[in-house]
Amino acid sequence: MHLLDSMQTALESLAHNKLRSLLTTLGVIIGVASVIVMVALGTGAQEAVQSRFRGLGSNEMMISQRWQFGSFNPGATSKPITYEEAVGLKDLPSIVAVQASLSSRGSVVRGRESLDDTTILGVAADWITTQNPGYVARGEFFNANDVEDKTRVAVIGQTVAQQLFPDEDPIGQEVRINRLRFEVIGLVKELDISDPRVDPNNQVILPIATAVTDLFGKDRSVSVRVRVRDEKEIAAATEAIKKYFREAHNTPEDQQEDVEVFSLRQVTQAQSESAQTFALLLVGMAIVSLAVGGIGIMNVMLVSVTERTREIGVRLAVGARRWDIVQQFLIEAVVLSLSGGLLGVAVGILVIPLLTRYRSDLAAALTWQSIPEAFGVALIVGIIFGIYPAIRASRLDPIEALRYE
Amino acid sequence: MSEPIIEAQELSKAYPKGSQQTFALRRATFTVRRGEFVAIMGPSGSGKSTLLYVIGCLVRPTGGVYRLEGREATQLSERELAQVRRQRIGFVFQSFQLLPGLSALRNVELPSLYSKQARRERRERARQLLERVGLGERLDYRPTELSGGEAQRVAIARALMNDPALILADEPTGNLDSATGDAIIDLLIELHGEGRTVILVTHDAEVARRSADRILHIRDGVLVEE
Repeated sequence: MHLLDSMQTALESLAHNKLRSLLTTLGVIIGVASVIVMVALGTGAQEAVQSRFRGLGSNEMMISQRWQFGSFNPGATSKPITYEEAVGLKDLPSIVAVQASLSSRGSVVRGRESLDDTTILGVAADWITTQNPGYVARGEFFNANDVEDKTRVAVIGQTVAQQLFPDEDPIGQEVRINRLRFEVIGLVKELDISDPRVDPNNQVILPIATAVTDLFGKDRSVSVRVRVRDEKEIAAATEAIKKYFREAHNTPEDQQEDVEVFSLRQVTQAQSESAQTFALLLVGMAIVSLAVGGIGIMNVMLVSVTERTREIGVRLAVGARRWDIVQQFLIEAVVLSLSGGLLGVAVGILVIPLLTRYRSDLAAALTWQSIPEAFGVALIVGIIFGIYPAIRASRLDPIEALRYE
Repeated sequence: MSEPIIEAQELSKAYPKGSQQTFALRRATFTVRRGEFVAIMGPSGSGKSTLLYVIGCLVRPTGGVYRLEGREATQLSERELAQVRRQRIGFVFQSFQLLPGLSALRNVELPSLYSKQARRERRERARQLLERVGLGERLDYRPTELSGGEAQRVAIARALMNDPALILADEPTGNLDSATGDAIIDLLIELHGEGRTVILVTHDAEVARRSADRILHIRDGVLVEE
C-alpha cells in the first residue's frame, strides 16, 4: 500500500470518529503543551538571570542591597548602598576598580513633548568601556571630569531622539528631567530589542554623580560592580567588602550583613545547578504526561481494533498483506499522537503570552528548538503505543474476523 | 474441456479444540475447470464457508494439496497468498462486508489500494464498475444509505475491481428478499457469461439449480459431488 493511501485510510478512519479522536489526543496535547510552556518559562528565567549578570568578568563581583533582609530577621532593616560608600570601596586593598550604577524610570521632556517610562541610567565614565565599540553613534560619551563635576549632560537612546527631536539633530540641544536641564552630548546607536516589553532605545544615560545628587538623592541604593586584580582574590575581597559594609551600616554582630556579594562563578554555579534540577523535573514531567497520553492512544487503538475486526477481515480478503494492516493501524496511532503534538504546540504557544501577561513577574522565552523535539517525542509515543494494537490487528484470523458480529 | 483452475486433493482443515481437533473440512478432492459455475451446498456448520475461504487463499488448509491456476497454494508465502487474493480472486459475502465509513466508490476502490495502481485510473475503474452494476448515481452514498440489494451490488463491483478470474460468493442472497436475491444471482450468471469462474456457496437448492453447471454437497466437512 502506498504511504499516501495509508494516510488517507488513517484519516478516513479517524474522521469517522471525530470526538473520540480528539479526546484521545487530549493527553498528548496537554503533555506537549505543558512541556513547551515549562521549557519557555525555564529559558525565560535563565535569560532573566543571565541578563542581570551579562558582561560580568571572572575577576568581577556585584554588590547589591539585601532586600529579603527584613523578612528573615524581623525588626532588622537593610540600609541602602550609597554612592559615597561605593566610591569608598576603592580604598580596599585588593580592589582595583569600582563601578557604581543606578537605574530608574522617569519622564524626559523637551518643550511640550514628553516621553514617559524612560530608563534613566546613572553610570561612571568608564562604563562605556564595557559596551561594544560604536555604542555611541553620534557625539560622545561623558568623561571622568563630567562625573567628578556632576555636569548635567546626557547621552540619549534612539527612541528618545526620535520622539523629542523628530527632525533635528539632538546633539547640543537640551532635555529636561525632573525639571532640570541636561545637555545632550551623545546619541546611542539603535539597540536590538530582546524583550518585547522593554525598549532598550528608550533610555537616557547620565553621569552617576549627577544622577545621585540632582535626581535620586544620596540615600538611593546603587548597584556596584568591583574588580579585583586576580580571580584568586575574590574570596578575600568578598570578606573585605562585607566587613566594610558591616562597619559603614553599623550592623550588629548577631545579624547578617545587609549586602549581597556575587561573583560570576557563584552565579553560574547556582544557575547551572538550578537549570539541571529544572531539566530533570521537565524530563520527568514529559515522561509522565506523554506516557499517560500514549496509554490513552493504545487503549483507544485496542478498542478500535476490536470494533473493526470485520474491516480487517475484509481488507485481508481483498488482498491486504498482514504488513498492510500493521501499517494502517500504526499510522492511525502516529497520526493521533502527531496531531496531539501539533495541537499541543499550538496550545503552548497560545498559553505563553497569556501567562506572562497576567503574571508579569514570569519571564517566558519560547524556544523554537522545543517544537521539533515535541514532534519527535509525539512520533515516538505514537509508534511505541501503536505497535501492539497494530500487530494484534494483523494477527486476526480472517474467518473469525469476517464472521465477527 | 477447459483446463482446471482449481485442483484439490485430500484437502483438510482442522481447528484445535481443547486437546482434540475438529475438522471443518475432511479430505476433500475435487476439480473446478476454468469458466465453470459451481455451487456448494450444505446445511449451516457443514464447512462450506471454510471450503470457500480455503479456495480463496484466505485460510491455509491443514492437510492435502491445493493448486490454483497450476500453482501450489500450500507452498506459497503469506505475501504471495495476499497477492493471489488481490489479483485472482473476488469475494462476495452474505453480509456485504462494506466498510461503513467509506462511500460506495471508496469501498469499490479498496482492493486496488493494495495493488500498485494510479489513483486516477482506479477511481475511473471503480466508477465504471458501479455504473455497470446500476449504481452510477450512488457513488457517494454510504453503505447505511443503500438498500441490501444495492449494498450487495457495491460488494460485487468491489470483487471485480482487480479483474479476478475467480469469483467466490458466500451466501450472497442470504440477507436479501427473493426478488433482490434473484437479481444478484443474475448478475453472477452474467459474470460467469464473461468467462469468469464462479463458486457460489448457498443452502438454497433453487438458486443452485438455476445458476450452477455443477453442484457440490458438503456435510460435516465431507464433500460429495451430485
